[in-house]
Amino acid sequence: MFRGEGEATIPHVGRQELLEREILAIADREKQHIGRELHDGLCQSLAGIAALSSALARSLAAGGQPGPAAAADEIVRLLNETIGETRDLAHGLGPIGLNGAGLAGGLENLARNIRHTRRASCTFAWDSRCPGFCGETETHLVRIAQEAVRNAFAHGRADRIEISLEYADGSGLLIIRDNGLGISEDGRRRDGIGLHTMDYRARAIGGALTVTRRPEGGTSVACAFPLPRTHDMREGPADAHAQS
Amino acid sequence: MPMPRAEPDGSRRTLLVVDDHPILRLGLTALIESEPGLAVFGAVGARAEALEAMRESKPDLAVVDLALGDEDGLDLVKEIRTRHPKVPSLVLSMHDEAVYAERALSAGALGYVAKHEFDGTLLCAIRSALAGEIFISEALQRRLAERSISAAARLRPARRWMRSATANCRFLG
Repeated sequence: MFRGEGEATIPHVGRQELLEREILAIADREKQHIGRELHDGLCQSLAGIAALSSALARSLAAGGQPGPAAAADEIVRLLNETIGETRDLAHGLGPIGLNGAGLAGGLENLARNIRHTRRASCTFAWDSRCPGFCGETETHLVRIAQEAVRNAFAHGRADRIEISLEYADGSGLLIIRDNGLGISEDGRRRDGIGLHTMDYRARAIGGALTVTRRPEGGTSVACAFPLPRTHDMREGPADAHAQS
Repeated sequence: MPMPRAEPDGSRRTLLVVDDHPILRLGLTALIESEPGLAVFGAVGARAEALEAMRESKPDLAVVDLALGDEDGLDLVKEIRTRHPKVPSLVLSMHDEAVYAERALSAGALGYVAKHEFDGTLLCAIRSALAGEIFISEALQRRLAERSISAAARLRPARRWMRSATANCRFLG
């Protein structure tokens, strides 16, 4: 970027933002595609091989060969573990859910996956007047939450995460708070690619990202974003609450 | 755990496997046939083939994948229930049971088995379904119970939490 060069750079920045936005959209489409391939292709093959191995274990056991039968059972166990890891990977790549669960649904899925796969506490609270957004906005917000959660575990060593989504005064606010080490004040860890990407995503939906160290410890990632102007603050889908 | 044995006359219970993934059909067939008393009636990849296979004679149970390519396995479960009410179905899926198991049961399936938890579970589910009983995993039974207990208590703390988030919103303004 050529910041600090004055007014002459304004059209350039506009073009750059469009490009950033397009790159993120392409990356998201690719991630969804790879996630689907992993889930609907690789996982199914692994499950088929696990079933074959399980049949082999049973036939060895029935033939009075307990040693080889136990080895085949171990293969089944390892395959099932691998399927679990691959599913988690696939879910991480396609966070919006299976059939357009919407923003609240996508964030709830994220929280549920964390509880199941990380054995960590992860809560999600949201305003039930959740308006409908376009898919792109939902994707960016869920990706921001996903990245913040990833950072909380990878860099902050957190074991408790709170995600909240609320609406007030014509704008929305997504906050991800953790109880980890907290982001460094001197900016040493602020230059990671993850933070830049979150920032791009926030700007792509007309919002702003604020990352702060919480006084009580841990990090708070907040994305304030504008609501669609014409939307009604209507009640969200009734089944959204039932997903937790 | 006791498994279905061969019928007194030596005949075996037959199962129709419906899954669009060939390796999975192979594995399921091998696993089912490793059990004495069970035989695979047919292994097909799509809805139309499944209905065609059941035209002449009927299996004792249909094991149906939730996602059959572009087709919805639950539609097939409903169709089997309507056309062949005496043939029970089990649903298999790689998807999270928390979301889909209840839908499978509402569509008329007698059970839901996660494809990533095959070892032992599938044969137990088959045994239950052949006996006309519903099968869901212990984890799901627990989750359904927990959900009904906490559903009422959940809303109040969430609203309190929201107010504290609003305070932060002004800071960030």
